[in-house]
Amino acid sequence: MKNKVIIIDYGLGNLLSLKRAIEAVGYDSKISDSKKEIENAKISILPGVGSFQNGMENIEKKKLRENIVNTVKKGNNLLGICLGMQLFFNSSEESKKKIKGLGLIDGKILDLKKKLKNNDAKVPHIGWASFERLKFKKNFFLKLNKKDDMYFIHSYYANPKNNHHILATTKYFNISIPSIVNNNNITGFQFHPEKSGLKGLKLLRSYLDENN
Amino acid sequence: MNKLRIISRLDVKNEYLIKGIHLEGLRRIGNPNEFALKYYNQGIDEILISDVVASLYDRDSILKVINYIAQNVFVPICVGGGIRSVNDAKLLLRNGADKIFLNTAAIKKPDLITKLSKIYGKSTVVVSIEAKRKLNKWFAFTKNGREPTGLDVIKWAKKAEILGAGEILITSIDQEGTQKGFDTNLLKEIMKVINIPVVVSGGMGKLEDLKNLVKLKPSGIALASVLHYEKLDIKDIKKYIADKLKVKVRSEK
Repeated sequence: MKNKVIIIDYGLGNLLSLKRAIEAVGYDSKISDSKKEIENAKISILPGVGSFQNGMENIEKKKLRENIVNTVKKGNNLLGICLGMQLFFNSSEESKKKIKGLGLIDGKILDLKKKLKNNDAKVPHIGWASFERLKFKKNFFLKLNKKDDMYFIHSYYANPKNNHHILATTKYFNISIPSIVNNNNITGFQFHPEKSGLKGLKLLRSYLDENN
Repeated sequence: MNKLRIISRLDVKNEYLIKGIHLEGLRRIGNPNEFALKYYNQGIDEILISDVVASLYDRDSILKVINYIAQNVFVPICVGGGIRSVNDAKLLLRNGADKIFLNTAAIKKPDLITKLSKIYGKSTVVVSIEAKRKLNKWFAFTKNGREPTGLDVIKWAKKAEILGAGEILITSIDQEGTQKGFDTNLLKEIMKVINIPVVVSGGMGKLEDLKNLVKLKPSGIALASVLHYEKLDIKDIKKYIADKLKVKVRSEK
């Protein structure tokens, strides 16, 4: 039997669409903020839209930091989407106050605006983009094509300290945005697979198939 | 690089898809859920839902529509009309909206833009501007083009950006529903001052209308009549943009 996917509910993100996308690719899921369920889930997803500070504050408020870290320590799989992925890192330029991220992948979240050089480059980066580079490390990549378009919506991007944590990049003007990051059982998508049409669903399915 | 987004705009009234001309004389077209599914299957990049009634007391019908579409359509959904408070926005986002757009409330209570953008992130907050041309200027309207505000559109758009909007949706009331082409001058003036993505709406009638518009590099184009009345097909529109205008669009091949 397939394991139930836990969608971590910390009050942010379009959880309904994510739940339905997971169902659409043949998996059962549960939206949950239960510490026990998160720690015991073979696959948990950390979704999220909004600011880094708001995201971390919500996680701390629900006292879920420890459980998210523990599920990873136990060898379970954790997938971060958009802000969820950014929260894996140590800190972000988005928050003026020193807000500590989950620290699951070494590195910092940077401001797109500071690095963009072209006048046509709008921030937030909203829209569909494919991949600049794919590193064929994980199996779910085998079903991913460089030309596959994914839906992006963000103003900040991850800058992992170690290059080998970057599995895919997407070009936005002069910046190579790390669009897929990975550290063993931790994976992050900067884009929204649940909002990326058939290609996004296919990627979600291959991720779940591989890690189930 | 980003692909030009082709967006279908669904104006919804009491669970019906409707369409007007100059945002007026609304005609019932059909079931918004069916239209959304059809457009999704044809490769639409985003769905924009506008609650035309937006009455204080009847939010249930729009929530039902969004809820259904969000569960069956796996592209972004932007919803607006009648959002007056953080709570209104929250309800839409909880029911499947990915982004929300403000019009009247943004003008009446500009700090709502800032508040929402702080809570949900800039990229979730779209400011919709309904523009009517007078001589060489454009003025912002509310209530589906019925109520003038006296605000200069270009200045208002810039102010909305500064207040925290993550995207501007600009609708030309003069062109809206006419299928007589876009107000490219309006987009041109907006693009000069705005540093966030801009989605343009109102007026598409034939493929050639896109020619001068895409040169101005909008982030998205919202279409209604041409799709609802099956005058043009999403695939043909995308093919024209890619092949003839050499601008990249998303394809699912």
